[in-house]
Amino acid sequence: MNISSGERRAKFNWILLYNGSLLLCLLLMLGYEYIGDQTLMHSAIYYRVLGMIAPVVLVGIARTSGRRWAATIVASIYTGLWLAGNWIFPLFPAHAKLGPVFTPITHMVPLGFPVLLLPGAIVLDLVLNRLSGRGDTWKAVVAGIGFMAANLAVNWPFAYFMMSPHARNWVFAMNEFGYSFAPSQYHLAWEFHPYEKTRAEFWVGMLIALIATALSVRIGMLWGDWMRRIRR
Amino acid sequence: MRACRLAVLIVMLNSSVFAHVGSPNVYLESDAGPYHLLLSINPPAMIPGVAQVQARVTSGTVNSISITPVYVNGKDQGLPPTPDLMQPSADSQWFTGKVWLMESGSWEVRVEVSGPQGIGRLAVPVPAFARRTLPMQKALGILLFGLMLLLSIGIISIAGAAAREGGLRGGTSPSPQNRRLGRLAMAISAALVATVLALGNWWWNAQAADLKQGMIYSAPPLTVAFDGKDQLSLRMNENFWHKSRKDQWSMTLIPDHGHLMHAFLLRMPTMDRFYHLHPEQVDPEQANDGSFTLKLPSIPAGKYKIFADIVRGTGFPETMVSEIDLPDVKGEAFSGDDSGVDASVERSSATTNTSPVGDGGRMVWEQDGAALKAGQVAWLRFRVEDADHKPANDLEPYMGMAGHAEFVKSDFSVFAHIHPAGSVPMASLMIAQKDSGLPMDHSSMHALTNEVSFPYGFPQPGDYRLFVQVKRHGEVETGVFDAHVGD
Repeated sequence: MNISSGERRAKFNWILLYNGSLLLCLLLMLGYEYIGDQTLMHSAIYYRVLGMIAPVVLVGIARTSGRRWAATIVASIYTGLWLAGNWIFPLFPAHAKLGPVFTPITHMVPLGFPVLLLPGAIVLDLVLNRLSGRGDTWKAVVAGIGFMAANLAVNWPFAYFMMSPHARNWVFAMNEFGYSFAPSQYHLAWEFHPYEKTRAEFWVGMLIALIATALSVRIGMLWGDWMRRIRR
Repeated sequence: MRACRLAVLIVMLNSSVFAHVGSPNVYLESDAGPYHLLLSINPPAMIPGVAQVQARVTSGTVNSISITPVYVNGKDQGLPPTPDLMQPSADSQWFTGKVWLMESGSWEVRVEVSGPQGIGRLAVPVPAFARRTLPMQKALGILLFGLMLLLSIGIISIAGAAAREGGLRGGTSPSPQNRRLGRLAMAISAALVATVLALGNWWWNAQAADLKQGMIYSAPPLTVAFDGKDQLSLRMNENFWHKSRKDQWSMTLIPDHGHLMHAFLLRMPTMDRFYHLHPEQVDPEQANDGSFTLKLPSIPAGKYKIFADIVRGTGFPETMVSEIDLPDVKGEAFSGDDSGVDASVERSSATTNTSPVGDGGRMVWEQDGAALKAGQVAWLRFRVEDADHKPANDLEPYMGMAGHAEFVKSDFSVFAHIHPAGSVPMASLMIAQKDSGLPMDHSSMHALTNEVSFPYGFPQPGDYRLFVQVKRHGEVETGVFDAHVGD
């Protein structure tokens, strides 16, 4: 991509963005234990894991791509792929072959609603493209704060919705449980379980999340800059 | 070395074992509605694992058999998974299949038999627990080790190439400085890869050790003390395996054949004395109390091996093993269901297939001439004759069964307590039948004849002593036989 131009470069750019979103899916899957668990959406660990994983990919790919809304595009593709999986898999019939079966299975069980990454990605694009001067480290700090603020602003209230009966439908999949989950335990998936046991632990966790997010942005910048220099 | 250890796969499975020692396979001969079957279930040695199920149709025409594993924890045990059809042999007399057992503890395999006479159902209790760690197959280990090397070398050379010439235009050769940068990148990435592998290995080993402690089954330790007169006190202790499962399923003891514990005392090393006794719980109010006392009959001095059978509330049977040195004990005569036999060589003709029992009668092992083979299920049939060698048709139920048999390997590494219905403890069978909504099968109790038969497959080759117990005129008679089991 770096040594091509015009239409060819645009095509390669799309391939880069698509690959970036696949990488994002992969890494978010690694963190699924925390960010796939909506009951942790009011815990610092959720924002720590998200802040470590997402910005490095979004920023790295955006820097390499050079497109104006690259991070937003990558986050959109991730959201689209994840939603498609969530909505398509349950259309296929399936049943549990292993016991004990606590929830009877009639179709494939989806992974759960994707993380709302788009607002954070938009903030990253805005900060990286619009904020001039002061150098990359300054930008990383601002982008880190912005990314986390956007995440909190969207995901914190969204968590209330996910815990509510309104999310227990095919769109949000909060009523989908694996065979090993007993109906008597469903309520556990519909209430917050604080990961940090004390208020102090929570705030320390949030501080770590902020630092991790800024670091992740900075590493993404270094990675993106290096990828931009690749000539062969 | 590190990588080799990394490549060792530790899958912990729980295997189902009965109230037996070293004899994990489950045999059950029973009616399933109008059909009569002999089922053998070979539980996995690791949990989760696959239990092999084999059904032999002994009467009736059968079209198909389906099997479903159900976990029994006495609580919220969920629903069974979808049933699997067993594969029939060409003549539809043999069916084979397999089921996954996902947890340690008590399982039942529900069997549904269909044929021209309709549908018959049956539930077989299968205890599941991990007996060992399954090592990785050598070939697979070598393959994975090779792939790991390939990946490691690949990532190091990619890092080197990227640092050396990633930024150069196509066609230009890297300068000495580029090369130095490349070598530096390779060194750093090699160190990183080695660190990741070392940490991975450490993590894996720590996890494996944890799993091993939590998964591999051992019977509760049994401490036995002699009061100096005629009483033994037995105390069941708890080990980690049991402690960590207390919350998941009922560890309460339930009676099997009317007794909470069946204790078998065998004099070591030749098994020339055999006692089948029933310890009493010290505090019957406390269902979980593990303290028992045992009034001994008159027994000669010696070192005794003790096997103690119990059944848990979920139908999970266990056999605890202990040893004790005893002096000559002057005890009372046998009462209730207690019994014993002098199995010394002078008295029993263990080398032949007959054994004297009671006052002048004898027990005959009806061997069909075929040699016994390890792992092969067969009916061991015994005929009881009176003093005139006429069929003794006066057998009475002994603890609710036509007969009881205990098979012990010469080195005491195998102990199995078998009934005419198979190796399944009756208490476990009742729980399984009740759980599946089936009536209790009493087929083994129909009209006692002078013959008792026990379906069993010896788990290992070697020499075994068989103690076969029946009841006549209110007295328990024990036949003693020796068997050699070939490979």
